[in-house]
Amino acid sequence: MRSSRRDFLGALGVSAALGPFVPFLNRRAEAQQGYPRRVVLLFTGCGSVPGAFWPTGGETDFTFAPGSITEPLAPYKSKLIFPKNIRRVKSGPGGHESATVCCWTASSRNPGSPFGGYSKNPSIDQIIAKGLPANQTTFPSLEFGVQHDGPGANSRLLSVMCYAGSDQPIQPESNPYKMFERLMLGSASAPTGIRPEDLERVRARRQSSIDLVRDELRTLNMKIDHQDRQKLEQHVEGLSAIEKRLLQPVDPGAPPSAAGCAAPMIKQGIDLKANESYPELLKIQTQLAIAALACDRTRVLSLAWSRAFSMVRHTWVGVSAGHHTLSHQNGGDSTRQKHAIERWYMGHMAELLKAMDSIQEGASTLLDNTMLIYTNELTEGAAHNVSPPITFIAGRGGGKLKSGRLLDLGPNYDFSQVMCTAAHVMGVTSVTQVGDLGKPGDIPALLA
Amino acid sequence: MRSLHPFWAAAGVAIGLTIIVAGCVGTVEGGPGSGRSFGNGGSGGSDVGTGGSAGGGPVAPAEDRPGRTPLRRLTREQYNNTVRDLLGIGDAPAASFGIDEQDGGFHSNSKAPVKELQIERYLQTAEELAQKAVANPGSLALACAPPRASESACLDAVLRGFGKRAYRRPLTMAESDRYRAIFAAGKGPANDFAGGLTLVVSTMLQSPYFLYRPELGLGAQGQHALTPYEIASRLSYFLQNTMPDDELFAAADANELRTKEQITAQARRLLASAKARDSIVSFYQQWLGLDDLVTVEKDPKAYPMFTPELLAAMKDEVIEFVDQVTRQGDGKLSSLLGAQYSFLRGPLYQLYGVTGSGNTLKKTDLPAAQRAGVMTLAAVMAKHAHADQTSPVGRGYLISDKLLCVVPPPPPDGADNDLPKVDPNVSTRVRFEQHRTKPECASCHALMDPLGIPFEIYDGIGRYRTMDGNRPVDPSSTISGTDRDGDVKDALDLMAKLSGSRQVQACVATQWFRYAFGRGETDDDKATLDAALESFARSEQSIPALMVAITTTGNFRFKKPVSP
Repeated sequence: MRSSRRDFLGALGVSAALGPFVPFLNRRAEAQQGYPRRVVLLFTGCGSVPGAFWPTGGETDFTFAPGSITEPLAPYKSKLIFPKNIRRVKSGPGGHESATVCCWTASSRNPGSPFGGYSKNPSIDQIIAKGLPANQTTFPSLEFGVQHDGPGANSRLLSVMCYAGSDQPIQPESNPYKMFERLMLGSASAPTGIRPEDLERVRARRQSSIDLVRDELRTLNMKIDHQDRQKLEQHVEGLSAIEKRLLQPVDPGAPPSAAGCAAPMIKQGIDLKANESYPELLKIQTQLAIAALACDRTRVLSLAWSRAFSMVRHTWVGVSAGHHTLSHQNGGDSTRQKHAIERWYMGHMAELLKAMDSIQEGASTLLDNTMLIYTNELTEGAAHNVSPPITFIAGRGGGKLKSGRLLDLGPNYDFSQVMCTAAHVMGVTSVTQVGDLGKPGDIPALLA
Repeated sequence: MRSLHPFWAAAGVAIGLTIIVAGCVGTVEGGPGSGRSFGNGGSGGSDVGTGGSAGGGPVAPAEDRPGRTPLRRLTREQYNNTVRDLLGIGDAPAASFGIDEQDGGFHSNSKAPVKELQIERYLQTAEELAQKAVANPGSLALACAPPRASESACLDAVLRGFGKRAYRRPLTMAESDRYRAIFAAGKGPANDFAGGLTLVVSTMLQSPYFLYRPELGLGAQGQHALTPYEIASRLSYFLQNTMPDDELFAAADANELRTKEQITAQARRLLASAKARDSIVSFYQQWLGLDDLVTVEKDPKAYPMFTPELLAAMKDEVIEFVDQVTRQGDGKLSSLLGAQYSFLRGPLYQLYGVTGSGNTLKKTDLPAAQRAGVMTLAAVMAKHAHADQTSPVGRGYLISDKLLCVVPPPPPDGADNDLPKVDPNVSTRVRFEQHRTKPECASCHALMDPLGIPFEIYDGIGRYRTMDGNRPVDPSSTISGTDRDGDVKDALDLMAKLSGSRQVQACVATQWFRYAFGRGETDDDKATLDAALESFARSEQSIPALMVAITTTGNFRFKKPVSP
């Protein structure tokens, strides 16, 4: 279902100045050769119940035990790979911080107090985004979160999972209204019923601001300590990226026709902070993420359904304790409750896979053209261990992956090599190792 | 290996990057190279900055050489407070901004660059705020639209007044000219005055001089003294967590933030103002881990009286307590850590076991020999406890980390972190016994548990108790690795001991240093830390005196020379 422009304006509380930018989503250009491959990082936090997570059986004839955590994924078995018993690194202090910072980076960390600092190296999504040809898509990458700024300790380190480089955390967008704006308004695609001169006026105003601010940043940068310069240089870079999106020439294109490329309807007035809003926000962010991929807004996307150290209370599956609090308890009812939470997430995973698989791209689907890696920062919450990681790969990577398998790879393989495989699937073959703590090479057994 | 500073040697504490107690390696906060180097060594008497040459600032004597304070971007609280004071718009627009970084345990955006997402947030927020401000210019210095003043006179006034307050320094000629061009562009062909003004305001709100706190100093002539405007901002953001007020701007205009006396007078004035509450409360909430107090959960079976109303009252209580003790009371560390009164309302009377009623906070004496200051208040005890039982480890960690500045290391991989199940016939103390009996646990838990056991006189929501289930509470303990080692009877005894501890005084001064500068301490900060501690001691541990003393140190008034 597609929302009307009026709905957007109402839902977003968009200022008059922003109004003229409300367009429909762009459709990928018809002329483009073939369909692109995409990579998606999908994250949930606080550890799982490892004994109930993995399917059992042989490499191709594995099954999902009734009631198990991953059972909801059974319909997509042929498009999944479960790499079992591999190893994963962590680094630095902090039970969750040591795991979270390294999760998608396999990197050592900069110092910081009291639970260590940021990653010293970029995360796999950013490595891939940098390795892809520039300007193919509106966004080199998109980072989605769900209530990522929710309560809990050490918020900043635990709410970020992507890094552009050393000490360059990328905070995700948790606000679906703002994300909508970014996806829909943050580009110069076809305006609907807007007078060109109005559009031009808004652009000119923003251009004036951006020009002045950029000049100031550059002048200031020459006067400050060299250790501070990265901050202002990155600010300039970000400003220029925004400028490019906002100010590129108007494309008078037609409304989209591809089935998947449509903006989801967003309910208005959701309380973004309320615990009860969490399931709805998770759903909307997922729908927006799928739309961003279907419309080729980006080919590199991360979606953190929860933050590490999540304090979400999953009352809708009968759990009143905060997730992190619960994760420290074992046995009896605690394990049952953790199981219920993990299975709830996998229910959403099944919905996501279904939605992606229903978007036709020629003879295949969006899911077929994607490599989605799911993981959790911890294996088991109370133990704060990270190996063997809770993980699977969904999608066929545009035919590059040999799917439908349960692979007991063993601890000679490392999660960083799964990430390296993703780079290679995406055609970024220059990557030989992810992170300074990673292991070189991809995992040939995953590839077709 | 660094040599032992006399103070630390006297305190019997190993110094360097780590503190070793019974084989466990605890980290002294502040990051590598940040050995604690407090002492009574002698920079205290240096008299800095009585003027210097005409036009120049004060000159930093060698011993006042400051450590490097990185370029800071406004925190969310600071952005909100600044917008409130600059535009009169108090709806906390920064709530949607990215989470603040932490440095030295306090919010400080000093490391990571802003990325596209946050920059776009700044842009959108600036546009929205500018529209609101110009549409409702009553409280602003913008209220001069023609015909009340000529257009150019009005614009000049905006650039001189509003521009200075937004940039927290006067605009240069070149900057003003640039904004005249922005104004013209904003007016557009329709000659829309409000449109011009809106673009000026929204651009200023995206300027690095608004979003960051650049500290360029006076350059070589002033030997890296900060400009009066930079000092004004340091004072206001430290003491009020917002932009400078009119009096500070006037003092900076008159170059009257040069001497220690001038700065002291301003610091005292700012601390006396109601707005200082913002900053003081922010410090204590972060220091005591209470900024996410609202998320505390308790098992209703264990603590049926723990309701959202009680939690809200606890939060109000602790906020009022720290503000009152620091600004209205004697301001002494001994009161902070020893007061036997608090500020109660509603369900708190029952919790503390005193008679009283009403829903506005009232200063109330607490039952004798049950409480000793902030660490024993309900909010702190409830926050640092589990859902269904107390947490000697969590409470001990709090005391070690926040009062002694020793950070115990995290548990090793695979450590059994399962909480022992509550059993009315086995006291908490006994349930955690394996921390002492298992050697792999004992070495590190010796840093925490003995400091937490004395708080067993408070249950998981901070009620005083003599029984733990069916067993009598035994809060006696023996502490080690501090300058006040020995037996303690209970939390009151522990707090009495610690408030006289030089190590605690040094740690508290260090915490305020970290808050003031938004970073951990480095070797270069020795003179400032020494001077601050000296003043703290001379004032018999007055916290306001410590805060004021920090503002007159070399660190506060000078910057480390720029490395090329």
